[in-house]
Amino acid sequence: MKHSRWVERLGARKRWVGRVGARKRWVGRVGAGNRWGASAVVLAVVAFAAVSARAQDLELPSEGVHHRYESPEHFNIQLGLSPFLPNVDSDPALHGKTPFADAFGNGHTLMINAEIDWEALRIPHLGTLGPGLGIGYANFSGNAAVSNPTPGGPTTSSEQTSLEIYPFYAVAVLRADAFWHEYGVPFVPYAKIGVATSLWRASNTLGTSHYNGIAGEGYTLGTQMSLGVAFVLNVFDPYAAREFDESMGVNTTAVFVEWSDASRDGLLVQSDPLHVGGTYWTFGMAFTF
Amino acid sequence: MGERRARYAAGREMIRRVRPLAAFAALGAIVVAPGVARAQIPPSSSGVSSSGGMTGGSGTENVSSALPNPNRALLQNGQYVDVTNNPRPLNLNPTGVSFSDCEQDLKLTFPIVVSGFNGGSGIEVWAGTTDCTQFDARGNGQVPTCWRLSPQAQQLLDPTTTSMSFDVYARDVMRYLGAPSANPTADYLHYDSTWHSGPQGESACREQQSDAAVTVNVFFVPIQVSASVGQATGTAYQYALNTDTVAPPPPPSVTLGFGDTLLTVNWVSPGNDPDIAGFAVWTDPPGASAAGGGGSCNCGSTPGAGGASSYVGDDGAAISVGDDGAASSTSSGGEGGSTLVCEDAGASDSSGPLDAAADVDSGAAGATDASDAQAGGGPTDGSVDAAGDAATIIASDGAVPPGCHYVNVASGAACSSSVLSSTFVVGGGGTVTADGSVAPAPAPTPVATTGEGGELEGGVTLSGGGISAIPPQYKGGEVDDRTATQLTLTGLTNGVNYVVAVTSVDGSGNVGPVSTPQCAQPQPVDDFWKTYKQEGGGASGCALEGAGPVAQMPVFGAAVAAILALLRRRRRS
Repeated sequence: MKHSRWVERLGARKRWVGRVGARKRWVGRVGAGNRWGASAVVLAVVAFAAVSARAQDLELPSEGVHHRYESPEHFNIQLGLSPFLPNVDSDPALHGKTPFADAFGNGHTLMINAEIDWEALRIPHLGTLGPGLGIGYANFSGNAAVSNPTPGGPTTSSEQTSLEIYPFYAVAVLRADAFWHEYGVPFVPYAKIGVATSLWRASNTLGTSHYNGIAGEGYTLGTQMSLGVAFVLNVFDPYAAREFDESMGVNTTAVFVEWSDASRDGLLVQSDPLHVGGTYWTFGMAFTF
Repeated sequence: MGERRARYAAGREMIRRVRPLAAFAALGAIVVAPGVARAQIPPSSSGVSSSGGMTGGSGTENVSSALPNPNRALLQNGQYVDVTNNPRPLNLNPTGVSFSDCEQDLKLTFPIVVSGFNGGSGIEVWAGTTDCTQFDARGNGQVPTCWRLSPQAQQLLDPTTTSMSFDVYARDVMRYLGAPSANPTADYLHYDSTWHSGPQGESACREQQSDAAVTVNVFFVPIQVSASVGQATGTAYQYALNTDTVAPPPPPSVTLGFGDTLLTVNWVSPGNDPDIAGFAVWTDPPGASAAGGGGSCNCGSTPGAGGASSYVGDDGAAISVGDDGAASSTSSGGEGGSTLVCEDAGASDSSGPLDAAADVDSGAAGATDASDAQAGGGPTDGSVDAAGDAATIIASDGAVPPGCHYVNVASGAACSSSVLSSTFVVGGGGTVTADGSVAPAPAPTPVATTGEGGELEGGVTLSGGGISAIPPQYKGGEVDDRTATQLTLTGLTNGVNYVVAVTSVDGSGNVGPVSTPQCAQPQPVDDFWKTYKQEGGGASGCALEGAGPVAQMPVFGAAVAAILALLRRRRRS
């Protein structure tokens, strides 16, 4: 039993040891004055932990698994789906007319998006801060209306009209993962803010739409702000999570829900932008590695 | 004593050396013998003795080919032109016979290498789906299953002959494919070298009975002449020809949609017919490749490549321009009526822009007044009034002027085009001309589709498939995908009624019977961008307006750079 308690304590510290090996700043936590001494202790702990790791698994299958060895954690990747409806018809120049709704209706489409964040800076007892880059894709399509329908004749044609939107954004991401790492609470709230642009293209069956020589393609600048929370799935199967970490280097697997305000109003430098932004929810999975 | 022992030892040594060679020779004989047997003409089952197989034919005759494949030549302007190096559809690569090949009477020239002839035998060329080296297959008093591709062997080849050349014609190859038993018993003795090029030769192109490809073997058989006449001897050369002169059936159902200068064509797959390689869509009037304007008269525009362009007159009558830019016209018979579309090869409206009163050259009929068709007035000869409501064809004999055909653009069953109906079916019916023009077809014989099958109108049951002979300029598009069910025709003219039909196409390039024609009319539409701009939307694409050079720099990239710089500074500190 005495051996088990030591193992438990060492296992609890081992995670921090891993971070020592990965990040020099954690060496500072141990104390600059005792750096060499601390290093010796670390080596001893690592060696002992390696020997006793298997026994620890067998003896303490349900205790503090997330406090054992973890691979270095530098990045977070998100893959999500977002019901999305751009506020094209909010353009003041339209004076209340609704060309978008007329062409595509008021239904949301499913936007797919992906984001990768670099956990560049770790803030003790809070979490990480770093830049993130995101990309998405949404497509709206419908049948073009007949210009001059005859009485009793069809009002819509078989020709497709569509609007494709490719949002890109760069954000600063604050991810408060201390709840999970330090207290074992499997929730990671986070916030993002940054700048964005959306490429867009209006097309029909023949290709990019044109009207009076103006091509229906371009981009709109704007801002991106998001708030979300991730639920860490490691708690359901710590053993599998650790295997995933050891084999693939994935520290945590989580599901997340996120609210975003993607404003695409030209960022004060575009006079007549196509308003392809909007607010939306995103649901998906996230991985830190 | 010593000498005897030395001889004895030498004898044993010789035996020791020879024994492996003998064993090797015996083994070689066992291995080679079956191959030799396969390559030789088997004994006749007819009971006709060849007196040991050596009278007339020595049995050593051997025929082979100097080239892996024969040279190809097609009839063009009355003369055969070598097309050996022309690309071929995959099914016909390197050599095969499609319907077009048969129509053009493809000539295959086989350079043959011969050896072992001793003056008692010659070479005959036969075709069939069975083993034509068998005497019974070539007749011998029986109903033959092979047919002759060359005259009876009368040229006795001697050992000095080492090479020969034989021309084989596609129509001869196809002649009895449908019903070898129809080959008259006496005919196996004779070969008419002019038959394939005669008026009856074209009928051979309709001998194939199903749309699946059939392999016809061409045999170059050493035949005994001086004794045991007709018996094969020696080793024949055999070449397999992939023949495919029937295209698969059309899609059983076709629907049309319309858009701005376009039509969308959707069809139901005719089934899992392995002969289908793709589909072709045909329009009447033929569509242009260049995008047309919307709804108004584009008079004087240059027609696009690849076919005639269609334009709309002020009164709604469609006006066609031939490939040569010559004017032709259509006459609208009013709502739901027929339209006369003319492919005018010779006449041109020299008065400048095309108009609704364009002329119809009646060609051989003699009524060629290029200015007598007046809009709103009644034409007085073989011309067409394009004034819309006066669809009157006035000809002394009441016939449709040469180069013209009717198009009925009414919806439903009345939608039709005589050009798109120019289909003949397997086993006869219809008329196909070798020059690709479309002769007035008899009432089209319905064709069963693979998916539907069953009894057809008129009580004719077919296995499916056939051939269409639609002039190529009517092809609106083609898709080389047997699973495709949709094609968009672009470059059409708004306001013009089009008759559209779909055909299946096989891997040999054969075009099958047309589907039931459908009619539709391209119309202007309002897509999202057009509506957005018309309703006041100001977005104009890429310009960063009114912000000077700073704004021209991607603000997005600058912001990203700023964030990265900030983070880097924090890490250093």
